[in-house]
Amino acid sequence: MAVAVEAPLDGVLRLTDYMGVHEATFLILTALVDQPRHGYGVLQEVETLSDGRVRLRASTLYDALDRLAGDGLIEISGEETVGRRLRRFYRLTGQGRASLAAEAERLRHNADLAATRLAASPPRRRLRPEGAARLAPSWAAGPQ
Amino acid sequence: MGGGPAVNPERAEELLARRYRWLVRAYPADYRDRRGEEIVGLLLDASAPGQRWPAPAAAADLLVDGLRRRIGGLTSASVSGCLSAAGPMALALAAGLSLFWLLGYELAGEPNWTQYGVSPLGPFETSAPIMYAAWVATAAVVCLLGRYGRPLILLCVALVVAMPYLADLFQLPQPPGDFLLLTNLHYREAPTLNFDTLLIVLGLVALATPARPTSRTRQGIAAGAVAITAVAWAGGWLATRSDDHAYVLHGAVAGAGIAAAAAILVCVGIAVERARHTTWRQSLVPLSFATLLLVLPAQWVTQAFY
Repeated sequence: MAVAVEAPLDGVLRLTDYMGVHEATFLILTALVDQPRHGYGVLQEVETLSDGRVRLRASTLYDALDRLAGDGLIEISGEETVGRRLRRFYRLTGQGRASLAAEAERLRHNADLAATRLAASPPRRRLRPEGAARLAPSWAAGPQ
Repeated sequence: MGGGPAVNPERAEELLARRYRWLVRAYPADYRDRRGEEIVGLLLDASAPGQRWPAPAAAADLLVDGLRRRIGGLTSASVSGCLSAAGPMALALAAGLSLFWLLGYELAGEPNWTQYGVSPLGPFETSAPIMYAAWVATAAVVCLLGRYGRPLILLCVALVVAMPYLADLFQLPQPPGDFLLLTNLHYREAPTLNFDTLLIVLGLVALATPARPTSRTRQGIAAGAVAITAVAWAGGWLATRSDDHAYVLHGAVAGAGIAAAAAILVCVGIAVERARHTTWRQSLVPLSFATLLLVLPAQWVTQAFY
């Protein structure tokens, strides 16, 4: 998944990109909650957490890990070499755990707000009844 | 990925590791020392059993990311921000210059190509207005509807490339050969880097325009295109006023260069404004690269006329 790490500078933040960035970072932090993981472990866990929707590239992962480590949200917990493979493990810091919890709370609050507003404001009908009937899929009419 | 004669898994991994290490050389030495083996380890973890060759997507990722870090420690956000800033500017430049060439050159009739015969395209001297009109229409659609930008821009680029051949096919007057590279190539004359090349470069940059640009971006494209047309026209008028022999195009293209410079100054202003909310590096690096992306073709076309 091509995920920009920060929002683009085209005048106004593009919500889709911004959410994509946020989601990748959010999922990386979430992947490290239960145990330290190495790079490939993080990639796999992010893919699992997102039901296969978010597949990070190596460059995106290490950009994010560098930034998160720079901000003190994660740290290196150890290294191991298996055969020819160097694996560096990352773990969440106390600050990282607190930030993730705060972000999860903020997202939950926002999601509740959106759901409440959507429930209170049903979509406007744009089609006249006959037009809507003409465009309705055949299964919508029920058993014949 | 593991094509060719079968080798034992250990040997395959050794080959794959060596090839990934070779690709990791795309990174600057300090980053490679810090991260290189870890990246190779991750890519080996992600490889299939018996795989001997790097996955194309992983190889491309390493090469692009390595280059990105070599040219200034940019983050992927910087590249994305750079293109997002340059895309709308490139579209405004392409549409503004096309509008000028359409109205100020093709319609104004200087020189008068129709003296050699009646043009099948009405008031227009050559078939070039077809592609100019396509660029203007594309910018108008993007500004009014805020969608269909990328397919239309691709269509415009394809039209510029195909114009000399389409003109032959439909028996239309060729675009002026003295300023279109592809027309020159079509007639196997010495190539020059000129206005069609500029439109292609601008078109490729303009593809980075967001698929759904914000209303502010759309207003910027419209205002930018009109400003560039006006400046090009003013440049042409001033050139003819100051020198009787000056060809109107010289001043016009110089004017367009001035317009591009003005757009760049505006971008720097925006960067300074943004720096209040973020770091200077985050703001200025993307816009500096956006500027470079646009200055190069602007210089290109200006030099082509002097």
